[in-house]
Amino acid sequence: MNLLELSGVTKTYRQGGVFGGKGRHLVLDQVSLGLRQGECLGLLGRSGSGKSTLGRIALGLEAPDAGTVHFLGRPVVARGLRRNGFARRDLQVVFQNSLGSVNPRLTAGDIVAEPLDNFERPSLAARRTRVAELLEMVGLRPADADKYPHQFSGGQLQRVCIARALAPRPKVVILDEAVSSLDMLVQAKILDLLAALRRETGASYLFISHDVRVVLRLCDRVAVLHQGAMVESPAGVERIGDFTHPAFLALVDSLLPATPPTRAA
Amino acid sequence: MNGRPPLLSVRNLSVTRRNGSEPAGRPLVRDVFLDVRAGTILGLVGESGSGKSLTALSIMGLLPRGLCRSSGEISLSGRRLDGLSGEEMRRLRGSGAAMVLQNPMSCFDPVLTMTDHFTETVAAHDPALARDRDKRLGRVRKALAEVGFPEPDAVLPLYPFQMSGGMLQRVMMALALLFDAPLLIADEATTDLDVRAQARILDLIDRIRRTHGTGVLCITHDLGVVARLADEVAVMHRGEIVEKAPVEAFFSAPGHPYARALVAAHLCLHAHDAALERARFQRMEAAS
Amino acid sequence: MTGLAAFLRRKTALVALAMCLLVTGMAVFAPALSPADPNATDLAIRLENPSLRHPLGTDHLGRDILSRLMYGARVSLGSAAIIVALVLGLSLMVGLLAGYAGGPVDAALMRLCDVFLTFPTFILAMFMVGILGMGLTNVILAIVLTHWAWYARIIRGLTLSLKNREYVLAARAAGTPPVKLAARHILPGVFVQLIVLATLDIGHMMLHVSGLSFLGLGVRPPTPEWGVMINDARQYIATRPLLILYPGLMIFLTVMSFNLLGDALRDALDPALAGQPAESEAEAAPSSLRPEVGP
Repeated sequence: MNLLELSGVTKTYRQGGVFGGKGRHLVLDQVSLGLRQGECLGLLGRSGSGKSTLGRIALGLEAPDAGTVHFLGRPVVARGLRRNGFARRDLQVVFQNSLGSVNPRLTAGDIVAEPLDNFERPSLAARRTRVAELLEMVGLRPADADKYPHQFSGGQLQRVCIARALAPRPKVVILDEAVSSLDMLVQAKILDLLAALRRETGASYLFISHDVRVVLRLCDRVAVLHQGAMVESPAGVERIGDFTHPAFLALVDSLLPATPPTRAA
Repeated sequence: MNGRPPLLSVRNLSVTRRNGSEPAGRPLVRDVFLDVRAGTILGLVGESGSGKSLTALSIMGLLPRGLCRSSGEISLSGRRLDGLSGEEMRRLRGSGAAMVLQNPMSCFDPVLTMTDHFTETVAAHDPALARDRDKRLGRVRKALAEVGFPEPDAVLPLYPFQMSGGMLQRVMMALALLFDAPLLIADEATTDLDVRAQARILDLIDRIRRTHGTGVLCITHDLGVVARLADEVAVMHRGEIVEKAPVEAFFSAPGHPYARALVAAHLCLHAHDAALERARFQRMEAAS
Repeated sequence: MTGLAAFLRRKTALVALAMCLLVTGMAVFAPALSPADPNATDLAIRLENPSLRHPLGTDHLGRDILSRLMYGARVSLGSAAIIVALVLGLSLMVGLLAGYAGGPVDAALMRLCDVFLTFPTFILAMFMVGILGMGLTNVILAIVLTHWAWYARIIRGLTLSLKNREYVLAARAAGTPPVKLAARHILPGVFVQLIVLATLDIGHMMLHVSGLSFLGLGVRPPTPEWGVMINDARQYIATRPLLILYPGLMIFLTVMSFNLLGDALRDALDPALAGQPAESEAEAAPSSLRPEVGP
């Protein structure tokens, strides 16, 4: 059984005001997606292709116009601001902009502990221990728990966000362009960290990105969102040479080379 | 490369925070030394905070308040820039050296059309041309056609919000071409763009270099851009240039440890390149 | 807090702060500071020039003007403060609820605001005084009723903008229940902006109180109040122009000081509100964070 199952998900955004929409923009068209236990699935697409919308629908933060979302076999319903208790605990998220995903007035420790406070309500001592544990797991120091977001660098703050996502021991983590804003060296380290954490915790990832190479580096399987429709790779990443669908190749065509090509003067 | 003097020559450039009118504190950019030759592209690589943007702003005399150039000799086409007054620098920008920045939307006035922007730029540099409407429009159309707008008149009446990032970047380059600036500084010009738009802009820069003999200082954190475009590479780390080499040598045998780490991380992402080539090849075979 | 440091560095801010503190101190400590009883009339010494006993002279009923000014501060500033507190409380409740809940609740509350926004302050005040009788309480009530809706709309707007920020989404994903979400993640952002608005508006409220009192709708005589003092001094404007000048000047200086204070607060708090460090960033880089030092 798939951990996370999206079936026939359709989403339209209406443009224009109250008095008649100018046009309906079909962002997602009958999209189906399944995330298996223990895998890292890469969701590719150009910017504006609807990948982030899909991520929010999978999280239950937005409701689709049609279609269903099932997590661990149970339906995920996004109804206004009602939380869907159990789904939230095992389904966490890391966003692209680390500075925007944290409350600037809270310390790193409070940020990381928020899911703990909501789901587990640990004692003060247990909370402190667990926060220290989580910070060390992502390569920070326990003393960093008292620092504020603006005192961290981009890479470090993203580690804090990853620690927060892993705090309730989720089964699935959705990473929405989580490394896209990072510099190359930092990005490489975070990718290594994500891979290591997946092995350690056994969590499954849905990795949303526009960057083909990053996806190929981290993920086991790839799916491409193109003009609202989903195309999955026939096999895993190790056989990516067989993925000849035009939606995928459209992304590959614009890739920059690894090394300088021989050039005309 | 060749014996000609470089188009842009920067020696011992340092930028520090300014306290009143005196420099204060540790330099943010220290002793930068670089050359850009006409018709070639220098890729200035570094991570955010390394000082590469500050270097470019310093060359153009556009440092923000609170920072100053504490030392440096800058020459453009043999003419010293570091002693010029504010007004002289202003005249130089656009005609002697042009800049293309990262966020194209922020470089345009949201309430002015493209026509207004062009008119404003022309008026700032060549009032005689500004008065001659036909001649001015002719030049503008030519510049727009060169950057890939086959129908310039379709673009001219548009407002910035009606255009995509890629389109705006191309208009920025058209503005740079208006006065045939010999030096183009592109500061993370493609970072915020879609991959396809990025490819187009990079092709455009390459084409302008070939046809106009423009020298380009291309600032980026993406080694793929460097591989695609640059003839020479300079690496900045914490305000200093730590490596300078021709591009092939940079990728095959980087010297400084930081440069090595960058190249290693870059190549690590390209492990699947051969497989991707196979996929494309298969597709082309199937199509033919 | 870098905001505080920036604030204290500006001279206008310091002067404004000093003036506001002075007036507030005057209001609070009036009984201790005033040279005489503000209501003690003595027709024998009416309209006297400034003297040692009466530093600003006496009014047309022989009352000490300085004392009346001081006690007047209590009424003018005090009622303005009460009004601001009531307005903030009411508008926070409505604005937060409307912005947060959205949908029909939001629509209904906004229509309610629209209704209240149509009432002009003075007309409503006169209406209420006519029905409920004269008095400061009714005046305060009238001013609160005509102002809360404007604030509620602003708060609703702020709530809406914060509601969809990524960190609120992240908190929802972390399982934070709605009330805690509002209190911990949305309210602090709203509150800081609100303080600025409220400070800017204290002067405005004070003018309303004084204006209504000037018209005879507010305080009952002989309670000292700056607007009332202006009204009393009208008839003597030719012979004793200073009588009207003192309360007028007090209103002017107090309103201006609070406005300047509000401006300075807003400028000082703005960078902190946006989440960026107050000093200018070294690199014109996409992120506003410190450059990478380590991993």
